[in-house]
Amino acid sequence: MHAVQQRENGNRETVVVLRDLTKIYRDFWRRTRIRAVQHLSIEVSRGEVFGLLGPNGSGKTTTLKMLVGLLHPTSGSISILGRSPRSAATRHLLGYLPEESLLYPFLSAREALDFYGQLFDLPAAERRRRVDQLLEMTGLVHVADRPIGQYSRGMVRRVGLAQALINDPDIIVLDEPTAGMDPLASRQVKDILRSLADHGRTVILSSHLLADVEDICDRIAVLYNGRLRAVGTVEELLVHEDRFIVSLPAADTDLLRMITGEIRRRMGSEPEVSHPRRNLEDFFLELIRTAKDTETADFSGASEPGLVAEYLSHGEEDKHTLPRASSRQGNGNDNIADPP
Amino acid sequence: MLLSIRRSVRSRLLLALLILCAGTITFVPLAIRGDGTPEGYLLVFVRYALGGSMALLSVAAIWLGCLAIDAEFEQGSSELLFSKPASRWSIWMGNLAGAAIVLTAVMLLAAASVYGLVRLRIFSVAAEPEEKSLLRERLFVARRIVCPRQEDYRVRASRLLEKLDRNRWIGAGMARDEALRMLQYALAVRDASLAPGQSRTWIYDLDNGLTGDHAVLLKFRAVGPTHGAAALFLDWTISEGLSGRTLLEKQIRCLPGREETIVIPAAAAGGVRLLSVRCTNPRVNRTPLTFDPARLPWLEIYAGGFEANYLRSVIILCANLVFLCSIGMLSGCIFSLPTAAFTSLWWLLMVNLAPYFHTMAGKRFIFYSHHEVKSAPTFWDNLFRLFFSLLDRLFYPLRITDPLQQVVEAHSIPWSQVFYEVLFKGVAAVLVMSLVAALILSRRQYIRNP
Repeated sequence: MHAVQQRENGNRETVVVLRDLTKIYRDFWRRTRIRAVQHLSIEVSRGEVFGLLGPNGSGKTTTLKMLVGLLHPTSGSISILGRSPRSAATRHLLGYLPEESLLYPFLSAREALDFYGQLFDLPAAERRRRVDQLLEMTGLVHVADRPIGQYSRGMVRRVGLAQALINDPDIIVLDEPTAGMDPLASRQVKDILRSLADHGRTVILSSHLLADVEDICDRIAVLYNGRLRAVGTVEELLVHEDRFIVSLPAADTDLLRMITGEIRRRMGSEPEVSHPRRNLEDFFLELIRTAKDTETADFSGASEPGLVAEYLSHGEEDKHTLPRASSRQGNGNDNIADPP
Repeated sequence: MLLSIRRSVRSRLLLALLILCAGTITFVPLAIRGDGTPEGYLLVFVRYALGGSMALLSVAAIWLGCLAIDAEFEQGSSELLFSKPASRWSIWMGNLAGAAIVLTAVMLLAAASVYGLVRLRIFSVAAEPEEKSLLRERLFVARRIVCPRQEDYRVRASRLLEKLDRNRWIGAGMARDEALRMLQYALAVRDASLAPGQSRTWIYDLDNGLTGDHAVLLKFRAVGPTHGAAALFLDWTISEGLSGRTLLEKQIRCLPGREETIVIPAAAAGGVRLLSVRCTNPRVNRTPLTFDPARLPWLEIYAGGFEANYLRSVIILCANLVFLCSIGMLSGCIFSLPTAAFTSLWWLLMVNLAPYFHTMAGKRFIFYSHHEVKSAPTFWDNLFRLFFSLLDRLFYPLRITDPLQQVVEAHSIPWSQVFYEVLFKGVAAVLVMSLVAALILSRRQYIRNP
């Protein structure tokens, strides 16, 4: 039995603890080349979507690689469910999607997923079941038997995400999960991740796409030059407590002039008046949905994804108690076919 | 394992190997015609065509081995692979097993094709059933070598040395053990030499006796004056036991330096357990001749069929391929692809040179001079002998043998040789390398453009 570090943080246990983590890349003569991560301390709770945000070279990928045991910290410690990330037992609980989906191009998606399933010692029948569900979930059923070398980058990312979930991991580590994806696929992946977190999985992701992080992360850590610059919930970090936005239905010019005049008179400052804007992602998704409803097109790529794989949709409590073939715990988040 | 096989099949590497081997097996016999005899055909097909395929597969094994692990790092797939709970050792062994299966499959196909061609070509030479039967008896067999009883010359040499010492005939600067060694050799040469009119007898122990189903070959290579390539006549008497019935009497015309064969018919040899061979140098030669003391006339007796011998040689070749592939894989774990390939090829060269290192390590004098006779090894002799001894210790157990030569010469490959090659190279050496590779892989970090 592993000793799980428990912490009172909204009644959630802390599953990942980074303590004073430092990673220095050295050259052959042991001279310091790059200080990739410096004195990083973070804690992540179960069921949380935690985002590492930062520009290129800020140490996000290095941190994630140390988290999955691919790199060894120069100093500091990492604990995943109380264990070292380099132990085989920890790796059974981890799902990892690297920055580039470096899959074997000569394998088909089905073979690749089956291969990664074998590395977790999953029985053949269970592997087949999970592979089918993951292919359905990532919308790759129609291209499942084509070699990955013939896939588009977005489709390869979907296979990458599917392989990260083949072992029904407790902790999912994703490096730039939406990189190379079109907005539609990106939205779908974000929904899958959100849904997994709702089912008790912990998601740790890195991105430099601020909108993505803002969309799905419960908490964010901002890194720059290997150092932690800010950490907190999205609300804590982004909300201006000293300002308000008032949204009104369309009003005539006289009424608007009167309201702004009153604000100016009482507060002594000029209020900003503008029309609200949809974000570009929402606009794009709406446009695509309309086009789909009206046209039928030949389609050779990834199709629309299906439900979250049945074996992934068990809650954390029942994950180890329910039989694997038990019925799906349905809730609104399971159906990700229609993006909001 | 399956991944490696799929990689080989889908990257068309398997196809390329098959085409190369098929090309070698087809074109080598066309390019090297041989002497037109069945022995010539066997030499061309087995030694050159299959040997050429083996050389190709050796390079392919090293290349495949280097690629197996190095490509994982170069293409970045190692990042995913090593984030999974499978152990480094099992990943390494899985890769090796896949590559070994591919290489073994190609080797077996090549060997089967060569066997088919050999039978087709050689038996097409013989038209009559009797001729075919003779060919089968002569070529499609495996024979083991029986050497004559050898005297231990140490006692005679020490007695002689004492006598020489008393008479102060040993040079003052010569070490005693050196003098003893020279005397032993001189005695052995004297016993292997025949002055005109002189005879020598050698005794051969045939453990279980001869069955009488197959002929026995007596082979020898005489050493004598070669100027003018004058033929020598030798009288041979082959009898059962020390003073038993005479099985064969024959005068042979031979050329010094050339291997000659006397066939003792199967019917005559049946049931014999002890064979004595007497050789006389008739006065007509008017010249002494000798045999190499390390290679006195030897017997070759039936030890099995060609097919079993051929199969044993193919097993040895496959074990060598697995061994070379694992050398490539270990190098691929440590170095980048070009360095790994270079290192592996260097290993290949070293294990091929191992017999030379063994010979050099056994020599007392490395440097010879035409102007002086050395009484003891110099500092440089000792230094180089130490160097060769180190190389010999390191590489001789891993030496690449040539079982195809044994097949061509119809020399039986003993199972002990097969077990040695398979267990030592194919299993033990591979296991050691896999453990080293697993240790290296577990220490290695996965950095791509940090």
